[in-house]
Amino acid sequence: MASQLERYIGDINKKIRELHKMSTGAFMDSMKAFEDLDQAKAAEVRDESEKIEALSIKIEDSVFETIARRQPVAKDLRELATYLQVSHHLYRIGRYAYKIAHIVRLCEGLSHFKELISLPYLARLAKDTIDYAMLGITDKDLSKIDELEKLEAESDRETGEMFEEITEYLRQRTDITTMAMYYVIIGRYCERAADHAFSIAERAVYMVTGKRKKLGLAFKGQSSEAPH
Amino acid sequence: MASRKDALLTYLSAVTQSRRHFTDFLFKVILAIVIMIVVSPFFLVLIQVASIGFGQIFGIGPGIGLEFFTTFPGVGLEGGIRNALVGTVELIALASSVGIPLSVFGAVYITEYTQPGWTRAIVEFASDVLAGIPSIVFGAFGFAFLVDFLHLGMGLVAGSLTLAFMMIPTVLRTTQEALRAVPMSLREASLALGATKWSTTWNVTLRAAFPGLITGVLLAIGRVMGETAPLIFTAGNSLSVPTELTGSGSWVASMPYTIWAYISDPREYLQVKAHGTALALMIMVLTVDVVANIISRKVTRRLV
Amino acid sequence: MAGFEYHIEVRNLSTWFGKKAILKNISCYFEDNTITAIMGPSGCGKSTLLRTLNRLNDLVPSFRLEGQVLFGGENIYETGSSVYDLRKRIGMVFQKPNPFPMSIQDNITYGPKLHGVKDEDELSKIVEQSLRKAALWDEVKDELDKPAPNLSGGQQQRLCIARALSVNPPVLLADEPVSALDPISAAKIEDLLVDLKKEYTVILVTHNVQQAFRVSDQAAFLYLGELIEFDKTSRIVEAPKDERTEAFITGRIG
Repeated sequence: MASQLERYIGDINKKIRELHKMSTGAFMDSMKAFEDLDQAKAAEVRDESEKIEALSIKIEDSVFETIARRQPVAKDLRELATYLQVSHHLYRIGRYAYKIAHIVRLCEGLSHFKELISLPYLARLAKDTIDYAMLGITDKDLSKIDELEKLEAESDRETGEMFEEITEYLRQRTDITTMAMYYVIIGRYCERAADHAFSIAERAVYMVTGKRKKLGLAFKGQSSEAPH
Repeated sequence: MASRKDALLTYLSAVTQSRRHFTDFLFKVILAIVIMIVVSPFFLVLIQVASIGFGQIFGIGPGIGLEFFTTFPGVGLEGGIRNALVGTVELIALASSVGIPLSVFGAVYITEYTQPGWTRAIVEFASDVLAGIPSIVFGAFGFAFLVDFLHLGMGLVAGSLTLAFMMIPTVLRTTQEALRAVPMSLREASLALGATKWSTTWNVTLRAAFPGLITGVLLAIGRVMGETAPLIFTAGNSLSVPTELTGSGSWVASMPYTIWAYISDPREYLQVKAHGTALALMIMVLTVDVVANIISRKVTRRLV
Repeated sequence: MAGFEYHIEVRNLSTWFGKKAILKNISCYFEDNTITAIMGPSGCGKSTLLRTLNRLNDLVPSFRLEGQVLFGGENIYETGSSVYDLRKRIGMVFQKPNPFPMSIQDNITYGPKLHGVKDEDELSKIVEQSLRKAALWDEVKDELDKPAPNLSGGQQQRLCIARALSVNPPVLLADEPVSALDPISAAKIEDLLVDLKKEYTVILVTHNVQQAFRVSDQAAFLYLGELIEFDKTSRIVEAPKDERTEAFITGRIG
């Protein structure tokens, strides 16, 4: 029979899983909306983003209530504190989805000047990074944490290439400036989403082991020259 | 009046309603009757003694009323019972001054200073056996040992020592119980402050056990006050107060002895005096017991 | 007091009652002016450890000990050392409040009188100081000659604390001091103990994990007679080193 505390924590864990699905879903949807310049889809993403915010607030309230009523310590306390922080990270990722959807609206009347390859790829890399990190949070499974740096390296490389490509385009054409700016901005959002994923991963390590460890090539001084 | 009858009928019908109810009712009635039977001797004795002896204590006349207690019997035993009153008081006082310290310190020793084991078991066993020995046996022992073997002769000393022997088992056991009732944590608190064992025993344990101790002492005194058998062969008798501690001048009267002596006498007025003495003795013992009762009730309040 | 350390150190302490082993090879160190909580499930030896520190276990004839208990650098079980002196310097408060059946005043002067204080003025001063330290003065200052057992449970326990402090021991041992009290009195006494650490060293046994965390600077976790973990409370609350400690404080065992 589970104790009261275990029930409270289990309930919040379920909510975090749902928030994870919603945030990454919205993020990928917003990228698809941008690819297709689909206004309807973008509007859906914007609505979804409100639900994301509501859920993250519910999680926060649940954590406060559990701490006040059950007085958790050690690993229970770390788990709850982690859920609180991860809820915020996932909320931010949901916000990026919203911002991308907002850009889709701004693209009313515009069109892509090239086939989009890098951006969807960066979005998928960001999603994978988030998923691996969240595995540590929801299932306490840290086995994929080492993969994160590979994904980061890949993401860095892709961003660097995209940056070069866009600057080349801008040197040759002047009519695509707005769209090009949008590409850069959205690339930035993908990267920030991945950053949040790294923070989530660090929290996962702390939650499970009680030790604080910095992850990421950036902290090892091994990242690429691309601006990030 | 109709409602009273109705109430009674309702009650009776409720009570005979089922076999369970009736059995319950029957038992209540039986127990009530039993209690009345149990308590009645007290009242019967009191009424018997008071009806004859009341006048001796509260009446007026030669050797009656206050004079009953202040005058000696004198010629023809027509006076009061001052000799017996003083005698009883002196015997009890002397017996207590010997018996109580011995019992209390004995109890302290076996409770506080020994472990459960041979010494303790033997002392407790001996006390319990002694407590049950008939008083006449103590009298016989007192005569054979104190009066004859130790050549103390009959009198104050032999009489009070015999009474002391009777007191010791009871007081020792009740003191032991009172000491046992003191919670261990009190002793520990004292020791934790750096007190020695003796200091703890004297200042804390005995003090805490004091009400229980006093109750036990008073009850023992109350009992011993009314003993005749031990004194018959050891205290002698006297129509005045003792003038010496030993020898023929130490012979002392006592109230129980006087009752016995006067009742055995054919003279009518001595019968009456015997009842008066009995009433006075009953009142004295009752007072002692009531005081013991009051003190023992205060115990439970003060010791947490 | 300045310059003289009163810390307590326990080295390789093992104890037995007859054949039964209670404590197994315990080593730890209690800092001056801190509160250390000794916690663990029932029967793990916490009270035994506490009572070993003021030699109260000597009262049990089957008690046997190996190892050392050092107070101010000296082994208190060294043959020849005075146990009465030791107990003057290490005070104790018990689980059930146990005031002597005397007046409030007499309860407090009992200790000092034992150790030779006779002057009336000095005794009054001690009474007032001790009661103030125990946060009881204001409540009883006009009733010092009333019998102590008439006080409420919480007041009685504070009186016992005042009594322990009356001989000014640098160390105060407390064996589950509030577990017999109502929550409000318990909270008052917890606050009191935290205040006392400014002048005294407090070692507290408790089975209540939350209480240990509320009041202590250091915590020791005892399990089946062994010292599993001894660390700053802030560390144990967040991430204990041993999984048995974690299981205990999160309520999974004990």
